[in-house]
Amino acid sequence: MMGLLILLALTAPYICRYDPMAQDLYATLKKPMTEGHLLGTDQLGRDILSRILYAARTDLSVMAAAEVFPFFAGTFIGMAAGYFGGRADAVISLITDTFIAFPYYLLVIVVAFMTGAGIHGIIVTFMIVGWLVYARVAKALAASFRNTEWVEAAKLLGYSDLRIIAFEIFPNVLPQVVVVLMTDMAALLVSIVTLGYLGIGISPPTPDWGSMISEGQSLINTAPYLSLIPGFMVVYTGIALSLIGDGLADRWRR
Amino acid sequence: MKNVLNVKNIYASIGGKQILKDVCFDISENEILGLVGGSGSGKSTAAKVITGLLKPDSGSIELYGRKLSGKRSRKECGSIQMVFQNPESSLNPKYKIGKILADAMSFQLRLSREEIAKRSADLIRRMELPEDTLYRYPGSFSGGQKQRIALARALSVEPDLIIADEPTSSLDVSVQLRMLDLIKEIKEERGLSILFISHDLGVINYLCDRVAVMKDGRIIETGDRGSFFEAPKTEYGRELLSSVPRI
Amino acid sequence: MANMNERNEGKVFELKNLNIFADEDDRNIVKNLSLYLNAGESLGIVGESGSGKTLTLKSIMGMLPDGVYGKYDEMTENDHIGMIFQNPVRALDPIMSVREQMREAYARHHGDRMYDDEDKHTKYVSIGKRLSRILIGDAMTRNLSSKKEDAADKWIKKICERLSLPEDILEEDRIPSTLSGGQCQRVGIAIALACDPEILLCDEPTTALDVNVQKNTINLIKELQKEYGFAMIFVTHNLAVASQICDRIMVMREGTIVEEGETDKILKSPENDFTKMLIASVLKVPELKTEPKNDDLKD
Repeated sequence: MMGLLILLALTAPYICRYDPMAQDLYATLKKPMTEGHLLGTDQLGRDILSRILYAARTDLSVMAAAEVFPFFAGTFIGMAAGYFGGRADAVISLITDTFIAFPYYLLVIVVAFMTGAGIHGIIVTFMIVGWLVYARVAKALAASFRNTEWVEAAKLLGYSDLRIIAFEIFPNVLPQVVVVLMTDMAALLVSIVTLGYLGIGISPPTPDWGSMISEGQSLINTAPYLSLIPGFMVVYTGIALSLIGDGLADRWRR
Repeated sequence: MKNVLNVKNIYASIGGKQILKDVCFDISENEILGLVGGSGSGKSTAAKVITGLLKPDSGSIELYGRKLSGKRSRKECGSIQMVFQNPESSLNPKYKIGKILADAMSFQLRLSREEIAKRSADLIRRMELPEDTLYRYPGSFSGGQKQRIALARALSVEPDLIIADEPTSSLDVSVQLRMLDLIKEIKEERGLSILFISHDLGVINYLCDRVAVMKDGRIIETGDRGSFFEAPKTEYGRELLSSVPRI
Repeated sequence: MANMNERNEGKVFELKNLNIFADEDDRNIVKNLSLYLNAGESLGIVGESGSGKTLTLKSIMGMLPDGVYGKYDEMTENDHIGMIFQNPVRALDPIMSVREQMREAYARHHGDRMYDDEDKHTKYVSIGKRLSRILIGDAMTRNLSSKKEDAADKWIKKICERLSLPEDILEEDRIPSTLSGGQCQRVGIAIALACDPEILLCDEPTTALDVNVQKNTINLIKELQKEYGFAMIFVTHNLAVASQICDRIMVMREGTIVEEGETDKILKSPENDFTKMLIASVLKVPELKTEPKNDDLKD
């Protein structure tokens, strides 16, 4: 499912006939399946299909970009805490427990006001709080491996701690954190879309599912498809990510 | 016969509790020393100190007369290798056997890729493992096979001393004998020294040249295998021997 | 103590055609296994890991784990079956004091009849009773009238003496983790004896113990068998241990019995190749030359 979506998103510039931002005031509010417009047009005459696909590009790439730092940093910090145990663990646990208390959306709004609405706000906020989930999972896993014989054997071979964490422990932690990544991305996507809906996220006219939903809100009775289609896309992506997560979890559990 | 390992007056504690008290023994070249004792006697702790995984409170470990530092150098690490009791957790489950061996050899011995490939294949054959072993993951092997792979890993870096911590305890009897014979053969071929830890006196009698008995963190008796089994010097030694169930 | 006179001569237990299957793929793990026990005798089941010997014992006890199911043609019903396990520390409740656990075992078999019946034959105890248990606490022992509580304590004292368990074991804070392996195993034995067993099932009870503790435990079990008169099934992978304690031996391999018979006969003239291999794999320890008074192994 996800593959299809990503494929479409990546090829959007090539397959879209219309510039998603081009307005065609003579062709406003056409229903889906109208000639020339598979999904119809919005109140400014912009082709919805194009906007959906371009929004996919925007939303998905923000989601991915935002996850990069938290995923790697969080995993690494967590593994270090679990592997070394003792004081390192105590310190990192203290930090994670503190950060967990931060209300996420509040932070986003604050950052948004500081840096101006837009992508940066979301990414920065997520960098600050997003790594926690990974740290916790990675820490628990690394701690469980800390005293196994194969780690001891690695130490006996003279491998440095860094090497052990990166090459011995990480491959064993990776499956679990990737599963977490999937669900986390789904949640993040919802956040991005929500912020877009609220108007503090990605700013128009850049297409974004969230803002599309909010723009279509006022016309929900006459042209429900304006909001429903982007809404459906969000759900679709969320399900796709969940399925990937489940599938991976199953495969790695065997 | 040169002394490979000298353990001198080792005191060690874990979590504040004194486990090892003035432990002394030595191992010569081409010799298997059996370390016997009940649970809680400190046998595994002694192994940890010798390998450098645990720092002793006082005392020293010497390899060929050279004192080993608390934090081992790469070379020092490579001279002492270990085979563990639990075959299920001795190998990193995410790596193929070939990679495990190749990593070890390239890190410790800095060999060329061809040389490593050749040695890996030779080792696998010597351990009587199937031809495709190098391309498989640990999970696809039986307990006995995993132990032989662990032995191969230990041997691959050409150590002076191998510590075997109850390597056959969790194996079926049918497999155990073959493993013990293999260890004996390898020792002869390479002139290796082995510290063999076990609670099973039958195994010790089968395999070891000398015996050391541990109780409550101390070495209470050492001697030749023959003289120990005929007439142990300590009460505890006698107690152990008379407790062995016999057919 | 049970009365030997009341035990019947002849078979006290019979199991016919036990089959155990894996849930996953209906693989036949234990195939058509039959065995019987005469009064007061010890039957050894010897086999390697995965042979199905532990599952067989658990079937008799009615304690098959998840993932397998079993059926049999016939099995003697008996409420007086006790079992002792391989890992003595883990076989006990880790947060309950050892004394409470023995009391609970005693109460289970000697408590008020009403309570006994309800639990034995119904799967679901009524909610009301459950709640009152939680509120009142220690419901098992609460169900003993004070007269019976004394009886329980008396029994505990007596059994601890018999099993050479020191008195400080009975203090309120002694949970299994504060006892040695050998002590835990003896507590396990006490709990098994609480039901006045006619049959004792032993699942490798000495494998996890030190050699000298093993010997004492085996001797203890033998003595108890003479005193209580129970029949015993002793599962082990160690042929030497089985030969010490069992009158008859069954050799098990991959779910089937490959050979069975009297211990002496099997050891001296084994017929099956697998049995021969097992015997050959027992590593010999030379006979002790001095201190003959320690050599009281073989009965």
